[in-house]
Amino acid sequence: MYMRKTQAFLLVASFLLCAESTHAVQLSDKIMLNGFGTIGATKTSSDSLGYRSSLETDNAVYDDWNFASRSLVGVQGNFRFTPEWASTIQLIQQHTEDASFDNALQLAMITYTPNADWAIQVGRFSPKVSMLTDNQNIGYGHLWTHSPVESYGQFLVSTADGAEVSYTQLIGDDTLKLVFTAAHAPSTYVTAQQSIDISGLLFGYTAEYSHADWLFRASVFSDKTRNAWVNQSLMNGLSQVSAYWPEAATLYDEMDVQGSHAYLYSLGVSYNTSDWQIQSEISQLTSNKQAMLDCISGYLSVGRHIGDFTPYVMYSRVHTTRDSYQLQTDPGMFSSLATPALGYLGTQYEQKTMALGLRWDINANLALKTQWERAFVDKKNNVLWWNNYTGKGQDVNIFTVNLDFTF
Amino acid sequence: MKKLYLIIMVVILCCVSAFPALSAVLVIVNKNNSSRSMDKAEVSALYLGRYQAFKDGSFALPFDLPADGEVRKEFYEKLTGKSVAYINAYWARILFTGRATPPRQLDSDKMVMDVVKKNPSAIGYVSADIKLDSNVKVILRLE
Repeated sequence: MYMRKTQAFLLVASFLLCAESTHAVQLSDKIMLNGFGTIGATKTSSDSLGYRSSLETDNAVYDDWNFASRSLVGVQGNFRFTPEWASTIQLIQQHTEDASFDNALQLAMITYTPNADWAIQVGRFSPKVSMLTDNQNIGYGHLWTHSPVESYGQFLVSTADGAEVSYTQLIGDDTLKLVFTAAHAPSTYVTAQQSIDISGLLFGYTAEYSHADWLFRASVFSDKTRNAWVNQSLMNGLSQVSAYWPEAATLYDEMDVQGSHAYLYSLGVSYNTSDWQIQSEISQLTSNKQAMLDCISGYLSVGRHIGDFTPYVMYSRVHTTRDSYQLQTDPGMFSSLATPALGYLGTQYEQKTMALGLRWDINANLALKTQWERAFVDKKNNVLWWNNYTGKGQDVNIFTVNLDFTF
Repeated sequence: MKKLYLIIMVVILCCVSAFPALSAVLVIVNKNNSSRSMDKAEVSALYLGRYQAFKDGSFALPFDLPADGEVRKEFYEKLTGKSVAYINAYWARILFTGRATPPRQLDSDKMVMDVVKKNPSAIGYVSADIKLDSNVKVILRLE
């Protein structure tokens, strides 16, 4: 299996490298078909900590080359009915827990543009909760082999069903764009024991300001949790024993997430010239429940264009801003409830990664990238990884090679 | 020393003459378009999907040339100061969010001219070497 996958990878890669640049298919004046994809291979230096791209996947990478973690292909149909009305449909095929059509359908929306200033989108779209969340799958569009896991591995929002209203205003030579988003955002947190539906109702405001080679971005989003995703047997048990162990009521309250809110605040900036490609972002995720995440994450990426090549460096980090819950009283005979409860209330992130990579633009639609990263994973706070209960920290090397293309 | 100097000069001159002269690129619209001129920032906003209208508020329909073509390369480098590779990646990020579509690509300068002369909403660009149709006008010259 390993050799067959390697051979397949090399065959497809060779075809893409030898082919002339490919183009979108214009079926008519009103219909255009496009596509994108990544053939990616990832390997780490760890046989105990499984590297994964986000908390939504169980596809973990160890010290063997893994082709499923990053590889995907997407096709998109763009339909322009009139200058004011358009529609977009996009399907993606990738390794995922949920192989249903609904999960493959990334975009299915109608856009109404009454004039150049306003646009309204209704349907399924990718909410732009931060700089990259709406286009992470588009490998060709990014400098790196993948977005920084510290910043994006935990933002479990790739698609949403709802509406987005945007207003664009020219200010001299600059552009200001304001966006309001309201949608249902399905998302799943995958653990070794279960897949947890943490879908929520998403509301947010985004402002983007473009000035010459600069882009400034700020956003605030709230997500209201729809489901009581904490183990209900555990919750019922805590409720029943609270008369005998009062702290059980506190644990219950901190895990009673249904209807609670999480807030994401993000600031981002990018600077792009003929020589430099620089991007940085900082985000804070906060909530009023101990069972939900509370952390700050960010990254800085610097790339230098040299002909068709762009070497780059990147530093990313995530830090939990709330301590794990500490019991104030002895649970005594109720330890069997206290221990799993503390598991829910002890989610911590503490990780930083340094990356060095190179992008080669082979032609107008094809880019080859290679990236080496060193992740410094804290011994207690390795939630981003699979099989993360080793109780010890590690410094892990991660190697990724991507062939990104569009057509 | 003089001989060495002369050899170096000859080599430099040969290298310079080996590169084709960079021609200007003309941004054109229909002769009935209300715009008399546009600056780089305004044309850039249309070609990067940041704005979709001319100054009078009418929708703009930008057209592009083939992805690997020299004129397209000259156009974007002169207009934005960025490489075609960056522009392609930029549009990939936007196109596949469904929020905007890139300028439609046509096969040649002549096709661009044919479309622009028939459509008051169209805006395109051509090499300065091409003979312009009387039904189009130049609103920006990129040197």
